[in-house]
Amino acid sequence: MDEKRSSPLKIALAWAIVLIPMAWGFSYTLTNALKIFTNGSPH
Amino acid sequence: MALAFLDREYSIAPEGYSRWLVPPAALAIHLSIGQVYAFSVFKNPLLALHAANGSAWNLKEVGYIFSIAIAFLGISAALFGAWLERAGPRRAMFYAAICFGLGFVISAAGVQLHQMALIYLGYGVIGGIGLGLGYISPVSTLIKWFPDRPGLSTGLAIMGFGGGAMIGGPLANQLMAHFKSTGAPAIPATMVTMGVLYFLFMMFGVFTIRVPREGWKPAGWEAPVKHSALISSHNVAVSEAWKTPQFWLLWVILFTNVTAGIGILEQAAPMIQDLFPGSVGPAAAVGFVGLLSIFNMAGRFFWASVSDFLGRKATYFCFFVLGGVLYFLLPLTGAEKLNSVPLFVGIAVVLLSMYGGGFATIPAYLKDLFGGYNVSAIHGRLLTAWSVAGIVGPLIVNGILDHYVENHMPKQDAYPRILHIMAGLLVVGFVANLLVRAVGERYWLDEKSVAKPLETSH
Repeated sequence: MDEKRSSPLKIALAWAIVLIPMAWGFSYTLTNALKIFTNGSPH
Repeated sequence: MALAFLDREYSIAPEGYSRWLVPPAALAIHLSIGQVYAFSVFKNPLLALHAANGSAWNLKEVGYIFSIAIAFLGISAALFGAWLERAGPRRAMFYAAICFGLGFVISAAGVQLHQMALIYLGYGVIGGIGLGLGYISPVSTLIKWFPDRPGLSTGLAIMGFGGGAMIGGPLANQLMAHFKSTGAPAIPATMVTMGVLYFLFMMFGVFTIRVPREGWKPAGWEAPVKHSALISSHNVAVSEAWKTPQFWLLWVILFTNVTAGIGILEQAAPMIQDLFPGSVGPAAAVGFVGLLSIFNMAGRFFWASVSDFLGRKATYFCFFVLGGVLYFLLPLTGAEKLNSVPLFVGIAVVLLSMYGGGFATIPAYLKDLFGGYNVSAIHGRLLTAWSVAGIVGPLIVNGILDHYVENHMPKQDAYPRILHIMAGLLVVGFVANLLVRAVGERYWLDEKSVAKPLETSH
């Protein structure tokens, strides 16, 4: 078989393009979410 | 022909193209349009704006922007699903990107001119059409690339829709803070920037998406010879599918699952503060909402992937049985009974994971029953259940809360009633799921017609 296969680097790059913003949003949300356990009392 | 590169024939994958490039393309679309769940970050800034004559918008007027967008999501998904099957995912994604990006830009003009009608037209109507087109555009393509794991593949994409708010919320807040500090009009500048950024991000999806070649299948994979009774080896056209009882049973299943989830989502922040007065404050309530959005997103991937092993019907039975019990128990965790915040949060996040799971598992359920031929179009029509649930869910929640407030009854006493109604709705969903059977032979598509739409562009 001499078919041209998608390069693993290209696949990794495609995933990075979507996972990096997701990870940023996730960490931001998680940091705020933890306030429910660390900052429970009303102010 | 202009824009010919968008045609299906130009997006057919070459030999050796990895199917693992397709989920990022779908995620780029869903992560973008999922921003709609974070539209509330614009609410207070919009309410604080004043026109030249001193007039301001009220909460109701601003609230309609989101409602119109969701209504047009359902309408456009239902109307354009059949066209999408013919035109291919790349063209649909391209138009979705244009509509979604343009919606932001028109809304920015509406904010600058203090014209609410322009915001309704921009973010609501045009942006909403982009939402609907974008939501359904990658579904059937993913199912064709992953016939061995349809739940996992569509779960991955639809997880992006749940995760979009996690990006869209902080992005909007940080952009508004930035433009405010530079003296630029914060909301219009933020909207234009987001419109451009989302358009570019969605274009990554447009250029990456590929449809498999005719007859392609994963290496070493053979379609199972012995099917589950509910997994059809035949296809049903969208024009026939909506005439089947199975379509309407799935409509009820999606409607009840979504309405019940909205019962928590709609009132999450005030609910936890009302049920735990004196122990949960506003900052913690915001954290609770964030936690719900994480589980809403994670549930989409988890439950849809699990459904590949459990089967779709069994997965929905989990939602309806476990969900019904948990909705019933949730009010018991409040300050007046068990007084356990961790238990309340634990139950709520499981419920929200099943809310997300319900969205993400439905395309694979449709594929099982109706085949993969018109699954995007059928999915588009089924999403009208979401639009209706988006109206009915808040009506139930707000109607009961208003009744308690107007009659000077304690607000926290309203929650058991609301949550028990949601548990009752899940019983209805359980019965609908129980009644799902294989689609009758009279609805099957003549197999000779199946290949035609794939060849229309030749």
